[in-house]
Amino acid sequence: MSDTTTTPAQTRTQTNAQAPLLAVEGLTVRFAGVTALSDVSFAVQPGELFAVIGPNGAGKTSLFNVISRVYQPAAGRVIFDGQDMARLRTHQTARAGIARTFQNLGQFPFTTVLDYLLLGRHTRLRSGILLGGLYLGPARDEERANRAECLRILDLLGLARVRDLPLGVLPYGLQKRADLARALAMRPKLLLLDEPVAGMSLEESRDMAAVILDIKEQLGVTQILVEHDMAMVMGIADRVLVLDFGRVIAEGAPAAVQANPDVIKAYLGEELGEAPSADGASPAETAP
Amino acid sequence: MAFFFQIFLAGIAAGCIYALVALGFTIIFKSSGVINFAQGELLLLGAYLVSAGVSQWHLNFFLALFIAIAITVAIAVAFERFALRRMIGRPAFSVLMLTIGLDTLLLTAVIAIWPDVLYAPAAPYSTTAGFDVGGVHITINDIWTIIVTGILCAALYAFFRYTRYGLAMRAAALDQEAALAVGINVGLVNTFSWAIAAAIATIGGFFLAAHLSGVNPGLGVIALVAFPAIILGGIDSVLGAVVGGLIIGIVQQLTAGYENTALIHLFGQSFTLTDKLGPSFDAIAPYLVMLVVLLIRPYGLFGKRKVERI
Amino acid sequence: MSADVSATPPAGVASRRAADVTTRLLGTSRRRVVLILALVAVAIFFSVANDDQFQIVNVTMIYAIAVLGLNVLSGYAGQISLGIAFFMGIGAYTATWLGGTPPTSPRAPVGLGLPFWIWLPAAGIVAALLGALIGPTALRLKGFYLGIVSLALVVIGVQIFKNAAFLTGGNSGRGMLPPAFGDTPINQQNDLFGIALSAGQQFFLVIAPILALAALFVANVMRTRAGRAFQAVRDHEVGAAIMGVNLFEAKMGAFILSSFLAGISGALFASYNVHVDPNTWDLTLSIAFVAAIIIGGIASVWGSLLGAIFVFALPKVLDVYSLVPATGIAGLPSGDVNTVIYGLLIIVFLLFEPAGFVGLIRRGRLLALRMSERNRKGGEPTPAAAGADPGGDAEIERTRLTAGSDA
Repeated sequence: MSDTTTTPAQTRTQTNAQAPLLAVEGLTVRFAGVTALSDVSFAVQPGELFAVIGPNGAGKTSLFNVISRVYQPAAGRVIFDGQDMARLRTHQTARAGIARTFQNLGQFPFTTVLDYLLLGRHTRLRSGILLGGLYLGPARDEERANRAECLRILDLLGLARVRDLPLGVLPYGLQKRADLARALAMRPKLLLLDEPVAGMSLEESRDMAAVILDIKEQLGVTQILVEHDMAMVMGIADRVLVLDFGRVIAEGAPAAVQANPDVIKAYLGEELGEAPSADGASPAETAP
Repeated sequence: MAFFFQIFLAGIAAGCIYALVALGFTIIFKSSGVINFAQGELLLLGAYLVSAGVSQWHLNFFLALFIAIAITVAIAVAFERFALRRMIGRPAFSVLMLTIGLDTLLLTAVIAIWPDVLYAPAAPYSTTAGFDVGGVHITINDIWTIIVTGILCAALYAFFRYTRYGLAMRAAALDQEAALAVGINVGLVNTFSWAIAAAIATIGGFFLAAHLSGVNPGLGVIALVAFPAIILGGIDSVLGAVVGGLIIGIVQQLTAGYENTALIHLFGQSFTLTDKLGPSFDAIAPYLVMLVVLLIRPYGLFGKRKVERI
Repeated sequence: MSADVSATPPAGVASRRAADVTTRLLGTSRRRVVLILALVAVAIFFSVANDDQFQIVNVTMIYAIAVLGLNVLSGYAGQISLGIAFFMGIGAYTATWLGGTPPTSPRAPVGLGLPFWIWLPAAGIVAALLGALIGPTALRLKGFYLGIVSLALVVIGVQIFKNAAFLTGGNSGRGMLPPAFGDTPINQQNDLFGIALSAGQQFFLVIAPILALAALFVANVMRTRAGRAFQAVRDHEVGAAIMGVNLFEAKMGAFILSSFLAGISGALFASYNVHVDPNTWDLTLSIAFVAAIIIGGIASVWGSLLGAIFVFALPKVLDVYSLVPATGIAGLPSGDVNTVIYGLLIIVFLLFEPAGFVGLIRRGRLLALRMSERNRKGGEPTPAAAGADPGGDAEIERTRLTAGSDA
């Protein structure tokens, strides 16, 4: 993975002194005595590709669950786009502009890819039961317009051919990609990527990295990436935050983080450069 | 006051029967996460088998009881092994429906085999005999119901607490995957829980029939009152099942006992519950109690809230 | 639809056109042909059927409306409910209150004698309002808890229906008027625009369009925003919420729509039978509806209709044509033979074809498709068709392979 691609964006975010899109301040999360996150603070600038890494159980997914209001923090707060997230309920985070991909797939095995994207656009559509049921005027118009929009995104991500297949029958790599497409269909201000390449083959994760960079460069969407795969993160992220047992142990540019002795001890020491070369077949081979 | 104690005692006896049915639900739910809608009809079948064993086939009561338990257990185990086992990972709705299918089949089978409406209960003692203590009439049947329920609860408690199988069942209830990982045969645990539930249902069926002085196809529906009992106690709590059953039994008997007594005094006139709410209000009182409890504690008195993961 | 899958164009431009097509329910010429054939069949039935046959078909269509309602709540939105009978009862008694005979004695139940076009929608609306009232409490609960609470609703409902004699006539029930055109009630022979129509034919003309509208409405809901939300909530609540679906709103929507359809069905039922008995709305009725959606097909409009036929029409057909001897089989009276049949069908379908009868049809079509593929190419089936094959994975329940079109 080349690290040259990141330089322009890096300079941009460093010169960017405006208010951060997302500010996490002193966040602490506890479950029945176990502290999943402890006094975590960081800020993400608009347009930035921010990565959160750490060994298993470091609290990465818990962090996402707090941001998308699935978990209630014990202390601290999350400010998104100038708004205190504590006021929102889970489903309101989507309307606020936060989209999230899922770490484990299989939640919606019967939904076709196209319907999944339309579901992603739920907050962008308006019609309720009555209008939808009658399928008249505005309901039909918005349905058609959004369908076209979703098809564009599917084309963009090379998923057009599987759009009528249910997610459950797709190979793993394509499911991950469809999930990302769904998150993009939400047209978010902030995209939370929960281990986007976990369980992927080397080739698949390279493709995914390219897509993530495209999203940043072409769509300018701010992204937070939670990942296990070090090589991939170091190659594409603007800044990296390292968690260990729920605590921030380092934050900064990839190169600096990589050189940090605490990080090496806690994480890199055991897993440096190990991209999981899982058994999953590449999309090129299995896609119809 | 004697009247009150009389009814209260009847409530405890009825509550014991409901507790037995509720225990069946809870044991199955704890091990496999399934609500067995057919529990009521297992009880019905058990009650008929005991009655038929004694009055039709002229068996000794205990032999009849043993055969009845063997048959209901065999049906429950077969259902668990060959039907329910295939439903792992399916939504709760489908699993519930499968047990409703079994419920329908059992009820029809009972009606087909025993077409006469009413059969006499069978018991090793006279179901009508009793004695008076301070104006309160106590039947032998009530006493046996309470004693046997107490013994069964104690035995189950000891079983879950101290035996290997009991511990395995509790482990499987807590976390199926973890239980599998430490070598517990979760499938066997499920089968076993169905067997226990069926055996308890048969005993409950016998007592319910003795209590109502007859076996009729409606017993299964009466046993559905155990639903409010388990909701009241919390589906996953054994203690809750017993307490819930007792509360429901007492509430029901008190309502039945007092619904024709003038309790309501309005504008100088007196009314009974029946005047205001119609006859046999006691049939729905348990459900109303359940709804009230659910409004206050959605997971029952002893139940635990589940945490969802993503 | 399966044909559409295999015929999916390579990519790009063509796919966009095809997608526009799938937004229409009657987009393909094959579907239009099927519709025309169906209409012809209905017309033939309408002109030749006798009273017995109309009786079966009309009652089944009335039930089918409530089956659709239950499928909205349980099949599409995944909320277990045994309460459908209660909402049918509410619809029935709203109808008898508004449309029933005005009382002639002080003891007779109330009735305003209002016309059909008032009491029918009112029945749906009152049931829906009651659903909206009960929903916030009931829908806090999940899974089995909700199932048991809905059961309580039915038990309590029967008690209320039995005792609210001023409205329901008490234990023995009360009368209800059939719909009328002008002054002529339709449960007797009438001349309509010079054509003599039997009671069965007239009821058919009233009920069939209502069922068709209900089916179309539900199908439309399910392929648009609200319906997608229902299904997402069924599949994964937290996931749905993260995507912006308001769980409470979605569940309430499904609950209210379901109650509305049940209310309409109950009102038609009361009016068709000209009499309502409070014991009709019991748990047995609710269970029959649950059986219908499982046997027909969960989360499928066609499945709802097929399920209604299986559970409500088939036993009547067996009776009317004496396919089951009146003396019964193996000591079972014929009514109980039916019960056994549907008890067994529930188990068999749940175990072997969770997608119901609709799933069977779909499987058959895929098989036919693959056979023809093999014949044409002499080789492997297309990857798309293979990928869409539900046959191999029985765990794909509520299969929605044909979601866009079949919903």
